[in-house]
Amino acid sequence: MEHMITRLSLFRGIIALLIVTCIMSAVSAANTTNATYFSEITSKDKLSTTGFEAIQQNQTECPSPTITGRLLICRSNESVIAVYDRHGRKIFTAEDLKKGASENVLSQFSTHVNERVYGSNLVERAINGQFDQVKITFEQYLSYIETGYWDPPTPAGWAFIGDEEDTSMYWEPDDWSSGSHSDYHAAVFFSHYGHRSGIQTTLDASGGQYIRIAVGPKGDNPLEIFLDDILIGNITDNFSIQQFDISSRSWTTTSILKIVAAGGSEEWGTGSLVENISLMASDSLSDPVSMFDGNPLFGNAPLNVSFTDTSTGSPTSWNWSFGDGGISTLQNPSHVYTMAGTYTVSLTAMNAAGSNTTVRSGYVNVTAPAQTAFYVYAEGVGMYHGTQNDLSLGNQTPGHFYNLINGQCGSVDTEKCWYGRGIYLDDNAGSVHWSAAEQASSYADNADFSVFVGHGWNNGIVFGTQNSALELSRSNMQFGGNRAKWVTFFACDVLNQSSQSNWESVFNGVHIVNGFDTHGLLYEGQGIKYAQKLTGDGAEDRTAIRDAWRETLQETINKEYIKGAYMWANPCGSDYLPGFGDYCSAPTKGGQGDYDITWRNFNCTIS
Amino acid sequence: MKKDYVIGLCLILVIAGISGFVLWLQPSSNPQKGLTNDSLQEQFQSISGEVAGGSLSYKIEVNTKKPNSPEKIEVYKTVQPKVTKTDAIALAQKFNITDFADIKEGDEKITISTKDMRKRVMLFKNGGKYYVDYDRSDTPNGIDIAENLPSDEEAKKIATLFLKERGLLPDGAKMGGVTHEKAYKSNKSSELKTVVWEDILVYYTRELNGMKVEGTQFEVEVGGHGDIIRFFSNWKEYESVGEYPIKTRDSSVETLKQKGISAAAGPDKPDTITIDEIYLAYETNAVAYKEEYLEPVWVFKGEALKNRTSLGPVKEFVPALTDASKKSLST
Repeated sequence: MEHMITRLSLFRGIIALLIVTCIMSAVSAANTTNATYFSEITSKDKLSTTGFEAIQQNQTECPSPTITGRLLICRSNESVIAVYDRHGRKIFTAEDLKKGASENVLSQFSTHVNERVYGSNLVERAINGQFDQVKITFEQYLSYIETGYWDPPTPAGWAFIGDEEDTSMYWEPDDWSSGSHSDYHAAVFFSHYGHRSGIQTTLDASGGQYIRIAVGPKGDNPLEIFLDDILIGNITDNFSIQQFDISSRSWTTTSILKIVAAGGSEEWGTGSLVENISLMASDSLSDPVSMFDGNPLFGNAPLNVSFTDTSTGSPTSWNWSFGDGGISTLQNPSHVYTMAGTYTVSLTAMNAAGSNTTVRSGYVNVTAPAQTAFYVYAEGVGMYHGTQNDLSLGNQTPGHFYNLINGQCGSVDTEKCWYGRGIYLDDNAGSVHWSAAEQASSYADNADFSVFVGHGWNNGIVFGTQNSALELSRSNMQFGGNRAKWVTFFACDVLNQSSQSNWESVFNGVHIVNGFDTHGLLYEGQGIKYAQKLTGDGAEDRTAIRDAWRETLQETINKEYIKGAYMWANPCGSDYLPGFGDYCSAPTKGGQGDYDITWRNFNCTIS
Repeated sequence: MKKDYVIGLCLILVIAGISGFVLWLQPSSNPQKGLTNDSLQEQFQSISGEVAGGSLSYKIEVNTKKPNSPEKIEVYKTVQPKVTKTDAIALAQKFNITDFADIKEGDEKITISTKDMRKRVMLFKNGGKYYVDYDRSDTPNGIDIAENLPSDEEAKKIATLFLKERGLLPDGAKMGGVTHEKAYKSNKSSELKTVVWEDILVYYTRELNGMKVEGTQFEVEVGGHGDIIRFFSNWKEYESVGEYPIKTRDSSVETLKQKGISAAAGPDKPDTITIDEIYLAYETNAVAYKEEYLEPVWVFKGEALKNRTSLGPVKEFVPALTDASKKSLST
């Protein structure tokens, strides 16, 4: 244990020695280096000097290498002949320095110390290369760059770029790419007396132009802020942020913002800070030209459209309007259109220079979901039973049922909708609307759900108001096939147990047949109740077809001698009305081409 | 000796005669309340014409004893229950339905279904309750088959215990009996039918004032392993409002003649309707319909025949209250 403590103490001592050495080295650099350098870094770059090694070893190319910050400056006879970045890439040479140098800048350059790098060249390079937005040249005395450490908090609304080991100045052109900073043109941080300070230029949406400056310790005297050598204000407080409105001032993209921190004291040290900042972007920056593509541009709802920004001019922020109330600020958003319609889409693309809006009218066409049509048919014979108190029930029951189903789209599957195939009430003509003899498409044979209300017997149904009217036996009915999958007979005895096997012959695609095993009677509201149970309307929850039939009779019939019945082809016994629940795709065959049919009767009342 | 024999014989005849007279005077018990020992073989001749909405022609044969015809009868007013969603939730909980998505309420009922819609309760505002397990009721499932069912007596006990434990068995409910509910499966080309589903329906009956309440629905279906898979009740609350005059038996017979027999309609066209039983009862409405009072009815029970072959049972109700009574009750 004691041995471990000893080793730990030794380790701590080494670390402390290293720290002291580093600090001493930094202080030494601050005192001895008087070079001004130009620095650029992006948030994607990591501070590294590994690229310097090859250059340093090439005495021909770089006879007198000096590392300043993250730049390698090669000199010959005290003159800069080339500058390399930290990756070993040549940034420019002495020849480059002469290109495009304006007198103004040269003049300014000449006022500085000898080894200053001409910044405008670097700006050009950035424009053509990695940076294509706002460009800022930044110059600073090295002595104030490498002498400190970060300790104050980042001013609110400002972004800190880099890590704390990086004591160099840098700037972050991508910093304003996020929505909340979309109008920030640039943010610059630097260390001033070991504290973080920063400069930010701002254009707001209304065209206002500002410079925001955050300072740590300002020094002994107020910071002086110059725009093109014109004093625009002072900063008198330490650790403050101050904004200067330059909207009314004439400035250009080559204007220089200069910050002078002069003076010295025991507390803040001596020396001064002069910052020259080219305020705005290069001349090439202009309003973006917005444009976009979408895919797909038509289809059924819900339609998910992917939009792609194809704007030019390097927009940094985007405002999309999809035409249905939906908006987005993403560059390449997706949007789901849930309702059918034709939608106009607009994109406003923005950058530091301005914005541009493109509107594409009727760009997206969304159609209603593909519907599957189902058909209901109903027929009612009046004067149903002479003993009943309301002889109109023979018409009311199918009428109510038909009207409640017709026009309904499913609550579970809204793409399945019901339409009317036809309704025939009190048909004195004795037409055989269920017979193969009549192939009209509006008849029961071509409906998915067919209801007959009238007289019946164990082998068929009777049309017309007279009992002697036309009879239609089940063998002449056309169920199944393409249609008539669900059939309900409000008619006596059609599903008598004794004749169960007779009806099995109709199961050539029929799912369910509902009816009476015995005599049946009509009661008020049965058609409504039956339809409501099937669709889940009113106080009813959606109910499977067989259960709806049983419950309808159970709730309306108080005669114990009446028995309902149903037959179904397996596995369709639990079918719901399409759109309102699951139903089997087709009855299965039990073997050798035969269906398995199940028959069941039930008491409406037993007492 | 011969004189004593004659006197004894006379006494026996007198006693028998008196006893018979007294018995004739006493009302009989339900369901033949009002019947006498006086056998009536009253036969209606063929009824033809627009009796039942068609060209019907059939004979009504009354093959029962002549019932007594009281002048008045106790009438009960229906007490409309007040049901709330809370009541419906409580009903659902009795059937272990706690995980439901929605409560639907309409004029007639409150419905609660499980989220998967496979179980449901309904609480009817006219006085009724319903529970169903759709995966079990009327649905072949391998559980509800004969070998899994309890005995009939066990089923009665299971049903009654189930109802009592949950407070669902009202006073006055009497065990009615059981029936076996079955579903038959057959192949289209085969005459062979097999039972693929079966449960036991236990039903209860109701009497008021010593008379049967027709139309009462109170039933529990007991499935495999004694599970309760369906329950339905149409059970209203009543309060007596006194005695009211009713129509005579003879006038109700006349009404029956005019009204016809509902079972006589249809293609089968019975040639004869037999009335084998006539009695007074009450008739309660089905649960879907409102009811002001419990209707006294004359019940005509028999069979529809064609060529002396039964076409099925017949049961016709003729309202018994006089028009004056109805008017009085409605006011």
